[in-house]
Amino acid sequence: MLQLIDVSKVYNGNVVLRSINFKLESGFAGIYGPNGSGKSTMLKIIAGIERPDCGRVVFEGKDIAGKAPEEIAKMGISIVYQIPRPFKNMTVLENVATPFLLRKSYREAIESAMEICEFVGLRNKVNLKAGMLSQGELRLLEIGRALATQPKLMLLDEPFSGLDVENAKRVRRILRKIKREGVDAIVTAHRMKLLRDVVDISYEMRGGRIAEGR
Amino acid sequence: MVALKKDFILILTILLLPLLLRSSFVVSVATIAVIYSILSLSWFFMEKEAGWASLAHSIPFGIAAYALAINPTLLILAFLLSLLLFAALSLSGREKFVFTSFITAVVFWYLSHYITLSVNGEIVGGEEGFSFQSIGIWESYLLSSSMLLLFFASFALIRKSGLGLKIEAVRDDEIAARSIGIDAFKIRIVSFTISVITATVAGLCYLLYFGHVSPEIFSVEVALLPFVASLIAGNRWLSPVVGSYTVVIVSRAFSGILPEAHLLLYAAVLILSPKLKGWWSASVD
Repeated sequence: MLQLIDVSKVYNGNVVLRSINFKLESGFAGIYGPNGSGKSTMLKIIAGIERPDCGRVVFEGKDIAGKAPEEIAKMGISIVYQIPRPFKNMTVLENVATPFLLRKSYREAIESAMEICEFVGLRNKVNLKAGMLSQGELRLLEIGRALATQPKLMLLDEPFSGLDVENAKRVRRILRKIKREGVDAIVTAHRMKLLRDVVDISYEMRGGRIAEGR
Repeated sequence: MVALKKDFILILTILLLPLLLRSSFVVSVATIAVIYSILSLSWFFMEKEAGWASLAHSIPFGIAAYALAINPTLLILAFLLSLLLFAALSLSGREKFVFTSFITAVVFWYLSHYITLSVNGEIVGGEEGFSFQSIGIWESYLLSSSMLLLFFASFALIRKSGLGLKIEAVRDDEIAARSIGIDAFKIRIVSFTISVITATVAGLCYLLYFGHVSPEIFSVEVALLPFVASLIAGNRWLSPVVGSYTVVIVSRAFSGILPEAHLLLYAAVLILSPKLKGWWSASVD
């Protein structure tokens, strides 16, 4: 499904990714490693937010390296950012409805968004402005909005960071639900422990290199 | 939506008042206010809805009036030129757009003094500008008022449509919007198109009312007017209309004793703008 071949990235002379080779056929892959190890950069390259300096990113047989984020999103890859990026002046429902608008009428988009809000546990917050949500709720909103793109592959960048135990449990529960729905994902975290009961396979990332983990 | 309906009713009331008074003087002042309201509304849409603060709305406004005065067939070209200009200036980013657009507006003002035509061996244009057949005060008022209501209602509908949500998404966070599949550049062009069409119509109403257009239409005062008007009266969709009326009424009320009174108002609003922005944001919250 997704393959990274010799992907490298350098920022201001610092090598962030060193000839990364990675393959995901299906399921949930976890990538853990310390801050600055290159996890976020790898996800951003897959999502088209960053361009690799060299290497190929192959998704469903097509090289998507360097493609625009909107094209990649339309191909079925969606990203959940480490620091939530909601449309803060919109309501929760509008945030989730917006991706549906690319394929559906306004009314249908709102109906589908309501289902997603139910799915991620934000049913009772639909009319709140996104700017009013707590950190945990923002994470759920981001996941809901990413799901609304109807992705084949989700990229979740540190979905548990900054969350208390209760909210981390909620996110974990939703990730399991997403997995049951048959969506594939790459999930990053700074510790392996956080991913243990969510992912099928885990990789360790350190100093811009990736290796199969424990 | 309730606030928008209230605003619509208020605008309708403001527009009906001069008709009830049946005074040509009141209608003439109101016509100018309505024309500037359309211009300010076009600016407000681009700033509030799309997040691009321009100080060059005098360009589509002025070019449209010039095109109609010189040759109506140039109107499409005038519209495309304004749109292309906005699109090109936006490549420098949101923060720089306000400055680059203002510099471009000043350049247009300067260049407009040199727009001349040879008609039957006689040079027309330049500082004197161009003349056109005016349609009369009452007709102008009815035309511009209808246009104001039409655009206000259209903007309300756009805001509550799928397109409105996409425009808002791109305004709030362009990267996040692109990550969910929205073509941010396309949406930007669509918002510019809507705004430029509105400013173009304001320019046409201006020429049809005054029957004359000169380089003053590109002046710094006109370039700043939508910004000042929108700051005066808050952060609602009614604000550009109330603000434009305030500028025009102040200007007319003091024209006998202080012809440049509106400039004092401009200065006061610009000096107080950080405070005003704070007040209006707080009142919205």
